[in-house]
Amino acid sequence: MREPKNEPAQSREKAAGKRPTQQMWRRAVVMLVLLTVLAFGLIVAQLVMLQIVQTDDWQRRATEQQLSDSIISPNRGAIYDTNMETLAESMQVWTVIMDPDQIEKEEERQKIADDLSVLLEVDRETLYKKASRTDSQYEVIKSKIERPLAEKLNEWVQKNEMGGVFRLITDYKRVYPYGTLASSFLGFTGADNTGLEGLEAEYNELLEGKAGRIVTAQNGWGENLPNLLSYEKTIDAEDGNSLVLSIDQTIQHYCEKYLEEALLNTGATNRACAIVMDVNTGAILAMATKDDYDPNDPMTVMNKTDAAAIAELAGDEKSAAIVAALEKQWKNKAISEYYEPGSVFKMFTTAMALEEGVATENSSYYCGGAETVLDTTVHCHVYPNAHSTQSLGDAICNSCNPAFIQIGLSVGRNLFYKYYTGFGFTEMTAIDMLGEGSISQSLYHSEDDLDPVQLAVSSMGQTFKLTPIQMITAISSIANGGKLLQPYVVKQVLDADGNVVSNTSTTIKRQVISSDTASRVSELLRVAVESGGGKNAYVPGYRVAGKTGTSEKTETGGTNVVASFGGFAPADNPQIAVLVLIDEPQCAVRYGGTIAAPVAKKILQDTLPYLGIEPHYTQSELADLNRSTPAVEGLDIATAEAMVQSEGLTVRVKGDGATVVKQVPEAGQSIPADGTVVLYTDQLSYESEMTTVPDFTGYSVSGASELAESCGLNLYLSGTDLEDGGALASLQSIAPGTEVPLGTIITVEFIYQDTIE
Amino acid sequence: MATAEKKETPLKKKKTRLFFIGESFDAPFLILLLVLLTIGLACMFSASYVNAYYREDDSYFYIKKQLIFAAVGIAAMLICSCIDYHIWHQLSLPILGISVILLIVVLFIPTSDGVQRWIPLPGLGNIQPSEVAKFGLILVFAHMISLNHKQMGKITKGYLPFMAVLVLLCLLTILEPHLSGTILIFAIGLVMMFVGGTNILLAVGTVLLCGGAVVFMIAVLGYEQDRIEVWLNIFEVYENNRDQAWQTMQSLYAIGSGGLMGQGFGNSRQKHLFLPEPQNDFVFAIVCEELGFVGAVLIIVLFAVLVWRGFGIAMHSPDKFGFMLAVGLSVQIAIQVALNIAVVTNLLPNTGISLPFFSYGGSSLIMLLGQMGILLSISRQSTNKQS
Repeated sequence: MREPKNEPAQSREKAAGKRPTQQMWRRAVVMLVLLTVLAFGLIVAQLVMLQIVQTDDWQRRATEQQLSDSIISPNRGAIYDTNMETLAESMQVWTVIMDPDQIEKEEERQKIADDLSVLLEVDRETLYKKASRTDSQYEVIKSKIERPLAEKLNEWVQKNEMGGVFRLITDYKRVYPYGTLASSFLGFTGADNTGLEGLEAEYNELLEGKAGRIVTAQNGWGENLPNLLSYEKTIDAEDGNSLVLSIDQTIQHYCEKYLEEALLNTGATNRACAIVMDVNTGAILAMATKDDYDPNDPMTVMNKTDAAAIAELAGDEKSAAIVAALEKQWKNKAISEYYEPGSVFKMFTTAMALEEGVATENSSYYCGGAETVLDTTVHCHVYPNAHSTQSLGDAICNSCNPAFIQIGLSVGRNLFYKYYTGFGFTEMTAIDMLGEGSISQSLYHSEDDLDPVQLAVSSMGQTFKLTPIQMITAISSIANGGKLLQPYVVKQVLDADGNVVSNTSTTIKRQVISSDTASRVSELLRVAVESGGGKNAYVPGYRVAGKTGTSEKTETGGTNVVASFGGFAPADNPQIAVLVLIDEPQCAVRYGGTIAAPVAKKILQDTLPYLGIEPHYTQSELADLNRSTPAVEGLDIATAEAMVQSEGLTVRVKGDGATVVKQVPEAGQSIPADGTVVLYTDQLSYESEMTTVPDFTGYSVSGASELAESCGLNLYLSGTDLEDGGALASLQSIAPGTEVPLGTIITVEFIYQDTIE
Repeated sequence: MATAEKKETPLKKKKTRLFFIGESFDAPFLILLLVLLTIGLACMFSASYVNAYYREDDSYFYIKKQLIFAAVGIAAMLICSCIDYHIWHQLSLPILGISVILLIVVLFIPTSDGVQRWIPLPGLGNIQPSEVAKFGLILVFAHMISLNHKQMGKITKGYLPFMAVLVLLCLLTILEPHLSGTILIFAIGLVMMFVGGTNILLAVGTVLLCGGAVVFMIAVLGYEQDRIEVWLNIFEVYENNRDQAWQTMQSLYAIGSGGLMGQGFGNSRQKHLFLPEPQNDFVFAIVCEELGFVGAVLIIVLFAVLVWRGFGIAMHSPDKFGFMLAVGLSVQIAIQVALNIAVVTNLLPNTGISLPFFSYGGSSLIMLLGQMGILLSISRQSTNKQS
């Protein structure tokens, strides 16, 4: 643009009348600047803001809507027992979705209602109504159907060409194949596959894995962009890790079976629990609480009394009662609930006294039926009777309170507290389970608090509380030579492909007592089971060591007790510890020795052979093992059976006759206590039912027993080395390969291995 | 208007040529114009084809029509560039008359949503009376100013008659209702009055008065609260009432995610049915997304240069009529560009102002190019060349 003054004078003059005025020029320039510099400048400034300053933020927001993000759910890891038996696993299930919009004809609608109401077991009317909602595209027909049903449904859809109407959405469902077994520590998952209780919650992060994503570019209508512009990125889901537990479902099963039995027999109102622990590693082999629940259906109250009480309530009271009952049944009693150990604790008082040398096996203690400390008199449980003078061993066998008061006082406050702490009663065991009860000062006496009276009753295991897991961990330390271990339940973590991610190794917290002291205590405890208050836990051949306890629950004001037995076996080479606790039994005799010890015995009796621990019989045990066969030939079959069973022997009847024509073994023979007498009711079956004698050479005692049983033979053990254990079969009374009648006695001689080699 | 008619007599003495092609027109202006038109057509195609594909079943639906409109428009421009612009002296009042008639007629065209902005012309598409009125206004104001220039400072001569025309057109436009058209007409009118010599106090006073009235209507009477709310609190409205803030927010997503260099031509994601009608008023948002800050500023600069060139044509026009006509037409482009971009960037509340040469629309593109032809015609008589 030129300035007006640059123009030739004559043309300016000529055009002066028509030409725009100076004022117009000036004002035009003002407007030009205002519009193109100021206004355009403002919008450019705004673009700087949006496209340079804030661009990251806008890009992030825009990307959020431009990319569709769908989640791929990972498969939750399984939980296995120590032998890779599945205790918990996730199963693929499907939810059936219908798109009624796609149904074209009424007859199709009728067919869907007719066929699928039967196939999927849903109400026909409801299904028909859903199918009639033609304005809907999404109707859930049934959720979490399993594979076989899903396949049947697919077939039906294919056959009827309704691929556009139905679709299946993949989901996962948590399954616990053994039902209630081990539920108290397995826990369960919620609807979103997140662990809510037990190991499922404790190890949730490991188990659940990482969700994957599929990111796809989409348009404003949520559709994928055409191929040319499409964008898709898949981040695979990472399936969860699996847990391998130290738990053995067989031992777990034993514990639960016998606890259930005990609950029935004792009518205990505050549940019962049992723990089996490997004393040398700290691995938990079984941990049971009864009553428990079914993790496949955790919201159902299993306790019949509670369920009956709830049924009678209504409204808020009812929901509160349900919540309380559910919380109770989900709680893992073995690690969560506190109790007074009572006399079981005397093993630790013994251990500290022996370790500090304030008592020996030869010390003697006098019980006058009661003991007075300062102004307080404590009765012995036999009061008004008395134990009078006893050795330390007798005091343990008698579970004598005055004796242990004397022992405790001789240990003294400081040392008592030192060992109380040493055995781990002032700390959590740190077991890898959810819900271990936290240990606070309110549960036990501080060192300053232990005046002579408190010390006296504490020595008997009263006035303080601990958890069952603390107790069995401390018992294990006596069994394993004085080492306090950290108990654990997960021995291995596997990734989704089965590779080992991590192994748990044994953690030794500290040496509490010397191994010498430990074995001396073991021996005393063995005697206590052999001939003292714990004899109901005696298992022939296995030298069980242990102590019973019955503690009054004074704080509830009533007369309820906790009956317990804690021990381990074999005493000379401890392998497993067991603790059985029955809370608030309602039967007439409620001592630990009478109701808890038998449970421990049954658990040990099944578990020890199962673990391949050989029995070491003493001569007197061997004598007790044999029975003399009764004479039943000629008797009618019912009488004969009853006679044999009354000897504790097993009966097998062969033939269809009414009277016994022949018995094997013959009358008056000595056979093992678990032997079998075969009764023949006709000659023909006696002659036809033959078995071939196997070769027993090299078998252990338990192996030989199994083999004999499988062949239908009665095994008679012989050999002087049986006591030492580790003996192997060397000679047998009938040559291998011989055909003999069922029930024939075969004598097998066992010799200690070293002498063979 | 009576004043204007009286003043027509001296003009009739002068001979008005119908065609004037004796001198060549301003070639740089034409080149700039064609460059902008080409970029505009390309960007409109890029922005529109997804929408066209999904809604019209033909990716080329909009661009095909727009190319035809552009061809017709260029023809109109060439024709107008050959017509002596003084002819618009005589045509200014009739065109204003036609505008007023169309603005009244459009009020009686039944529509489904109560918004009456278009008159359907069978076979030719729709005609927007406010576009015609805008043109009529520019012609009449140029005409009135060129006759009245000595008395422009007087309130009776240089203010009231202009305001009478302006208020009439604005009232009719606002009745449609067509807020953006009203704003444009008002702004162009005021700028022309100011440049033409209206008393500066009156001009500024009018701006302040109208601004005050607008603030009063919004703040006290509560007009257009929805738009204002979106403008002030877009994130909040987007959360609570997504539909209301949708278009503006999607526009910001597009502009913001363009960044400095853009996603590349054709690579907008926001045009994939996120930004509604990306071919219309919000086409510049897609331009920003695809070409980035650099591309957007380049286009703004091209527009600025075009406006400068238009003012240049005005300043070298041989008479006041040509001057005012060129100023009016250039101002129209500048205001439309500024308002359009201010709206897509949420500097101003959302009103329907199209972007010259970019937004889809037949009648407005043809009229715009025709008006550019008038500018070219003025440039043929540039005093610059006569020297």
